[in-house]
Amino acid sequence: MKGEDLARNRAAITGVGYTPLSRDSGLGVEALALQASLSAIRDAGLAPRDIDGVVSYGVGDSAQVRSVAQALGLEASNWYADLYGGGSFSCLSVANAAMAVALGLCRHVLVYRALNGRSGRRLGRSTSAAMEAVGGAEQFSVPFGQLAPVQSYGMLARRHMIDYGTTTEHFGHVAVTLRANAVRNERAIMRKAITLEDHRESRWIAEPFRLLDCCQETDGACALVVSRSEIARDLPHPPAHVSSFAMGGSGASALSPDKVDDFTTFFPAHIAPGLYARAGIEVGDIDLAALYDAFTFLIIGQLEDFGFCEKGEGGPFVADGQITPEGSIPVGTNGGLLSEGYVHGLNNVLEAVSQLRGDAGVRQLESVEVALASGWGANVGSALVLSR
Amino acid sequence: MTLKRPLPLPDDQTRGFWEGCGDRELRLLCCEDCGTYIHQPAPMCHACNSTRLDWKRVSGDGALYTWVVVHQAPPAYETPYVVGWIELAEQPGLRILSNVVGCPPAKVQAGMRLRVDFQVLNDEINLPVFRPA
Repeated sequence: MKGEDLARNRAAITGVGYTPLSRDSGLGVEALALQASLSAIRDAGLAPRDIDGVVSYGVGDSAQVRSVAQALGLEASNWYADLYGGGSFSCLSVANAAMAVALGLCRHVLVYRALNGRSGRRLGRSTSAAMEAVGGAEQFSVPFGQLAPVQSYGMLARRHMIDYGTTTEHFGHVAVTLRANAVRNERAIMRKAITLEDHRESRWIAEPFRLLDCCQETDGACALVVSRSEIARDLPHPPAHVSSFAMGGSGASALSPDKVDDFTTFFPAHIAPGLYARAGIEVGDIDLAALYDAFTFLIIGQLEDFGFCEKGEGGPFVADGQITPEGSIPVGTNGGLLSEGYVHGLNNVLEAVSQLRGDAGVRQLESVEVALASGWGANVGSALVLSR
Repeated sequence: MTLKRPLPLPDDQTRGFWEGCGDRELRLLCCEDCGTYIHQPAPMCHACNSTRLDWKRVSGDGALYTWVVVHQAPPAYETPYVVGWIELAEQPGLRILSNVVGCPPAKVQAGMRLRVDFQVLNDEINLPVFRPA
């Protein structure tokens, strides 16, 4: 194993910041990015001049790194990375910053994601659907009415139902659990408790997914600061050490799963063994799983492939209450993307940091030593192991 | 004004597929070195990395692997409709995304046998869809 854990605990998350999450921010994405970034930098006990690297991700809907750096008045930088990508890039962006820190390029790297995901460009809507003709990969999807992630992920969920007997009621348990968590989170967009019956009666969007299986299209931004671990100890908050990270998957793709053997083995099956080994942990050591949850089923699939339960047992596992705050592996303590809001996954990473620090208020779990966070898009995903 | 679904825009990589549909044939790229079919069209065989690929007619027979029933879509798309992945008879895992037509959405079942049919969109483009065999 020598050489495989060079980055372990060399970087730590030292500051976090949010804008309010809403359906209509009334602000541009750059204003959102700056507000969240400044808040994260100050939370870390730093000033913008201390930041010497900036990483962000987006799909052409965010503020550019160079403009944010300029507007913040950063004095020097060794690392700017404007990554083009969606949900699978949430943990990748933090990993990218952690690598810049671990290699000695930077002392403090700012990471942010800003979007007007409801009032601006909506990820749940296909802009191509309004065009006269579509090329590229979309010529094989849009003319057939596959237009949005709710449909492509719905197909993965359906195949899981066929292979393992998973039910839409299992999805309902995920929705109800995460909503109950959001009720206790002042930042959350959706704070009214729901029942399994509410879930069952919500309208179909792309069957087997109902409205309450889908995340919240959100306006907002969040940001964090990744610092060298030896400096992190002197900053105001307990550091959340970056113990390991990974980005990968298989050839399987939610968008174009046409060259793979099976639709029900997901990215964690490929990255989890190395992720845990490099962090020096086993799955049983994880106290909190901040799993990417654009749709309810995604939690079920990840619980299996990250090893929290057996393959095919994710549905019964959530129905048994195992992902509630009192369960064996709490998931989405902030309400997740399903109910807190959808800042393209980065807000789930911030919740993991908050739980590790012990400042999650009424949502605080007892003794969180190790947290897992993840991001997922198409056939690939990224993940972080964070430790106190 | 009638809203229309977007048409596919063939390119050098995909033209053979759409020309086949125009002739009411399902044609896919096939590797001349190892015989693997490749869909969606790609510049390289994912099985052996050969770039010697050519278009070859397939039977158009398949079975439904997974699907969704879409209930919410822009006005050009008449809901509810079924879009899914059909596994073609020629090769395990060889799948094509398409619509299942001629069957009420509630009657659609995993593994149901399907056969390709073609919807005429205009003088140049036919859309390959699938009906119960």
